[in-house]
Amino acid sequence: MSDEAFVRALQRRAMPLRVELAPWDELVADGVEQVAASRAPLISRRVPVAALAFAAGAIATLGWAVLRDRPEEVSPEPAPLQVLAPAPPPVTEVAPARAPTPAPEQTPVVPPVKSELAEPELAKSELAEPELAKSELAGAGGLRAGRGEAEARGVAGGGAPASRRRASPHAMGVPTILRDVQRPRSPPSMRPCPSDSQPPTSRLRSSRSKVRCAPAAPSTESPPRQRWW
Amino acid sequence: MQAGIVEDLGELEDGERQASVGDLESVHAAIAGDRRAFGRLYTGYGPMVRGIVLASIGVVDVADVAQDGFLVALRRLPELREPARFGAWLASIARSRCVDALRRRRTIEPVDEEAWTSGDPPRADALTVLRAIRQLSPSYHETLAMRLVEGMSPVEIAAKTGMTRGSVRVNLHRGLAQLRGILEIEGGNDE
Repeated sequence: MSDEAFVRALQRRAMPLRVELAPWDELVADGVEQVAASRAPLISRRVPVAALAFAAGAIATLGWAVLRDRPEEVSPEPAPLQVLAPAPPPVTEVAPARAPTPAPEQTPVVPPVKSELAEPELAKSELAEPELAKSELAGAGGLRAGRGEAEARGVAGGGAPASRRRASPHAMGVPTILRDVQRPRSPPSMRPCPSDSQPPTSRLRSSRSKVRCAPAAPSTESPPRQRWW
Repeated sequence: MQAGIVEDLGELEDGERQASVGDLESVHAAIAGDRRAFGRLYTGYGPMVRGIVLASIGVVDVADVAQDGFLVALRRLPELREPARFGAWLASIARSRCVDALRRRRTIEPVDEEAWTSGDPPRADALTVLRAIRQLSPSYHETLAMRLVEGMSPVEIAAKTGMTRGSVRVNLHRGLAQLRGILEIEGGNDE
């Protein structure tokens, strides 16, 4: 079969494959309607999406600003601690000078073993701590009176705080020094009372450190935590 | 405008030149916003687009994809840089629409060409020819689809697609030779 005859035969066989396109006028009308119908939802979809995105961005910005400003609002309570932070160096310098005098008086009263045993008791009686802190903050007279009472009562009553002071490395001089330093310097509202100024989560540690040793410990620990908030 | 259009057409023979002058005028008018001019192009280039689509995606949805290609071309007409190459530009749009249709078929709606025959012997025979054409390389099956299904002459194929007449002749000659071999192998039902 020649090429021409072969082509004719194939054209005849392929005739059912031929399809007619829609008239141009109808196609244009449909196409314009489709374009109009496809663009309208697109615009109506874009507007709320943009509004939602803007609102979400504004809320996120406001939330971030509030969270960022929050620690500055909370910080006024720990701030006095930072102000008092320079105090420890003179305390440590002064401590050795005065430590020898009360040390021989207090060491024989309660042995160190008893003080270690008294630690858990004090931890259990955490609720009693604010009273002790108040008595200390009430002034040197109050503290002396408390100690006097403790000494008068012996180990059972006021012995626990006394033994705790002796158990710490600074036990000898710190209470005296605390009394001497805090009395003239800070009015009652400015005093670094850990039970009042610090959050409840760190109350145990801060109260212990305050009773045990100089207030240098809370002042050195607290600033990074405040900044993190 | 006529002189410029004729210069754009370059080395075309007289018959092709007359046909292409009409197409080029219509292209310029359509770019200027004349919808009826684009309607003339739709009629004139319809067989070429149908042949490309048929060779690419098969017999199902040929009209839809071809019409979609024309609508896309109408929207993108201001982007056409060389009006004299409108045919090649339109063919590339039609091919891209075919790619989209094939992707849609693979993922969303597969088609059944056997259902199109619906037990009709002439349709089944036509589908056999079409499948044989689609086994050829792309450069052959588009030209053969235009020649065998749409009945376009080699000169017309060259004028519409922008190919040279030599390329069209070579594609037709080689494609027909391969097609003959395929159809004879498939059962000798080719008379």
